[in-house]
Amino acid sequence: MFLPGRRLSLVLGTALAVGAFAWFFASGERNIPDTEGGLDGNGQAGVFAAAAGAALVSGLVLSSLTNALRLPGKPLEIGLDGLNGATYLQALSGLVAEVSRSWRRQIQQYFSG
Amino acid sequence: MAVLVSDYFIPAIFALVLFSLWFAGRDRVEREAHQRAVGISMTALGIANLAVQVINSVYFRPRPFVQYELDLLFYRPTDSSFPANPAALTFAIATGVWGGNRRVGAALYALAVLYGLSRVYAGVFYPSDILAGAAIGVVVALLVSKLFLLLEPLPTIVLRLARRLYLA
Repeated sequence: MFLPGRRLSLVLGTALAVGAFAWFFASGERNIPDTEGGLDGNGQAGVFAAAAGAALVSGLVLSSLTNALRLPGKPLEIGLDGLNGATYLQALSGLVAEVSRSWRRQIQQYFSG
Repeated sequence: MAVLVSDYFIPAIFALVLFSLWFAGRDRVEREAHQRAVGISMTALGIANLAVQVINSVYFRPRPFVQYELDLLFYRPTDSSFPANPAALTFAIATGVWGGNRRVGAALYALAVLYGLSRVYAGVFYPSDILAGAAIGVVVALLVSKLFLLLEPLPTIVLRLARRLYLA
């Protein structure tokens, strides 16, 4: 989402993931028992889920900001494929506008009928 | 070996694979199959974890290092050895992913086997703990995949909603 080339994005993403792994395990003792301040299985699952959510949100917002001028701004289809032609924030604001238009129409029909 | 056997290394790889699989796929059909597999894996992960907790609460088996003199490559866990929670969770995920992508599923099975063997080598589990954990993981994931079929159209509605929000 950050770079126009799919292959370059894959290489960059893999390098970042491997780099983060190497940093995590090389920067200190990580295998700490949960009885001495380490995380138990449920804690790990919670931290992983929070990290995945944070990565997703920051990725979508940052790529929206960096690609705002490059992409035409109107998704051609729904789902992830729509992000080929629009940033996430553009696609989401289009969706909000569409839903609010639809609601307005329904409310108008209800009160006029 | 110390990194491989760690509580974080292989579980982090599994988490990254699940996260990547959600977005991966040549077309919408393949991506949807991956997303269903991720959903099945995550549900199976929770249920397998619960099943192991329940068994641990009614049956306690001391760790191998309690009964034998071993050179431990790991800290000394205090909970029950049987069944092995790491094996149950990794096999549950591998089985869930296998349903959506054979190649990635096979790679995860290989990692799950390696993780189980490393835990036996490190002296914190008996082989039978790993086998029982793996069996729980596989059976739970197969049952969850059947459950997803029975719950249709709910999984499809959730996926459609995620697609509408440009997240799937």
